[in-house]
Amino acid sequence: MDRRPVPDARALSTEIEAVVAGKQASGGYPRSSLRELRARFATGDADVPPEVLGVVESARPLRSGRAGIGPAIVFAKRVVRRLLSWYVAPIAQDQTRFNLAITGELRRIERRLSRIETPWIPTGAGPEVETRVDALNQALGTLPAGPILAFDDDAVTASRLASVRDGVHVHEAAEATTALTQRSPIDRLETTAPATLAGVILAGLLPRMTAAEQRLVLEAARRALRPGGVIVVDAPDPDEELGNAGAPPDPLLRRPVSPAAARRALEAAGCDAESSRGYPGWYVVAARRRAM
Amino acid sequence: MKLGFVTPRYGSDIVGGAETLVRDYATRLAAIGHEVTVLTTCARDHFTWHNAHPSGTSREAGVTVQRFPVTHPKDDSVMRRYELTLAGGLRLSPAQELDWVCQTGFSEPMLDAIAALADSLDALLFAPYLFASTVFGARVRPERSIVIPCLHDESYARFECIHETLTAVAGLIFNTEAERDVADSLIGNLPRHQVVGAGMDSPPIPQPGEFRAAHGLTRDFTTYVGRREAGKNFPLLLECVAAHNLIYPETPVDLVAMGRGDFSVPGGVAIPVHDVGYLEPGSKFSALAAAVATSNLSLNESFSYALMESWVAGTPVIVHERCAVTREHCEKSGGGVWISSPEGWAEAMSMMRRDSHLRSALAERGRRYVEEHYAWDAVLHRLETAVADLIG
Repeated sequence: MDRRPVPDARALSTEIEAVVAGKQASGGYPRSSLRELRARFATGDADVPPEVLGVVESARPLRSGRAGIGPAIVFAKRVVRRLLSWYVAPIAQDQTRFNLAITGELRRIERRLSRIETPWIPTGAGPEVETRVDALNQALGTLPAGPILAFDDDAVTASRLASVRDGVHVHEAAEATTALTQRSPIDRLETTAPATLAGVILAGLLPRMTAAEQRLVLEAARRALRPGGVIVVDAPDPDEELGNAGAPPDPLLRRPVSPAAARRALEAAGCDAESSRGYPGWYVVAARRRAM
Repeated sequence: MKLGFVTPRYGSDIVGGAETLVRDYATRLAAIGHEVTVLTTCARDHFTWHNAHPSGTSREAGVTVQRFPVTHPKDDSVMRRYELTLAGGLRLSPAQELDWVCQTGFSEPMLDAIAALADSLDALLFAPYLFASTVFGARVRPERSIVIPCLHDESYARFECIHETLTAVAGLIFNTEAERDVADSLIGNLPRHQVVGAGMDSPPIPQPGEFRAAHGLTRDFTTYVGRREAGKNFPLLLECVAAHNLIYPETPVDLVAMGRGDFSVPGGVAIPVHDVGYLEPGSKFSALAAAVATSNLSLNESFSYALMESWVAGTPVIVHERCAVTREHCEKSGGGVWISSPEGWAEAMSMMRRDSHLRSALAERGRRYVEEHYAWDAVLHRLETAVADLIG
């Protein structure tokens, strides 16, 4: 009887992955054949540009696999297609015109977006970190179970908050030269699974966004929250900031957002503002996801 | 206990994991003395929802079955638009989500029957989560209702109307802890819940040699059991088999595909597939026993009968790394491995072909796991306890 010990499932699966990685690195697989196989099984039109998909052909290849009478069936299909072409062809042409028009609008919107997007660069221009972290932590209050995702404008606050509160995950801003869409808070939240987060912290973000971006980020944050989850925003208080003649204005502040405006934006996104407090020059607002 | 099961399709001719689960629960609870009534529609398939069975009451295997006609016919053109939207990764509006559910076998007389029967029953159990019979039926008397979701991480599981139903009932019964975790991540705020699972009978004694002879199988093969469709990742399995035979051309393997559903192989690809269709239990277990491994690469599972049946037949399994449910079974049982690529599947299959001791050891672990957790006595006990606990 073979009494060799057998590794557990995890060890075996890991071993399999290691074998695959090793063979891939050493050229142990017929790479081109496997690539061709993958291409044959690839489904969907994910990689096909809409300009190509948008052209609707009314005449498609006609086939029949029936033994013996296949050619006769194909001939009959051709006759039917010819008889109906006066009706079908104009519909296909109308659809193609619409598809290409929509695709053109889509590309124009893409170009406009690329003009207004700016690199997301933390500037370190916020208030004293410990005061800010304490205020954000208190504003979170009681949360349902789950992770808290934190974005900040200074590459320090979120990390510091994660060190004093369990469950905080820091969204790391990437290099300034990389594309905004890969690392913006909007993109991150929109690709977060719905109803998975206990809290979202947007530290110093709202004033750096356009009105449209503010709406998008708050809606995306609400969607990502579990029922009972909380969004916490902080920002410079424009009344106090503008009155402070000593500090130069932050060039990346696109639009000042007052505490009342922040509350209204959160309410519009489907959250009930619960608390707000201030400390010199700044305010913090917390809002809980409303049950829909 | 007096129990009512509500499910959109019921009968020995109905194929589907959730439907099989309900039928097994109902008949076995009736066999041990519970009074069981099943409320269902007259539909036989979930594509057309046509009323195929006559409405009325019958007795089937000790269970009283009440069938009601579907009163909201399915509008194919509307559903096609909804499915295209969902397949494109987009969301439907809340009104569209409700309409989608209404198109899945909605039966007004069934809802009336639930209201009339509720007070005479100890509990109402609904399965699966996404059809009209559950979404609307469980709202009639939510305090007496338990839902057995059979949940997958799919677009329908994100419908708001479904979340509203699932969070309002007295309790939920899941098939696995992994399914419960999926529900928790999708819905949050779950009501009280328990994990029960499905039961497995001792199989007929398999005859692997006879099966091979009957189907002319001379090479090693992997088996597949279930619906042969993209939703169960069947095309990926075809690709895996083809990849294996490209990597190991001297020792190719075959695929024996059991179950229902048409499938096609892309042009220019040679895959040795034996389509044996739907098999009776005796032949099915013989096929499983004759295989090197059973492959289930589906990402949409809430339990997976195929894994349990394979282990009971003495054959290990290969599953997809990203399916939380099947991976959990493999991790807990030690009865199989998980892969993430066709190359991984080829290496897993090659490993099992080379080492019969490994194959036997994995299968034996799986068999003990099924025996310990999914023998019917244990499952029924968990089910009775769950119902009593959740309804109170």
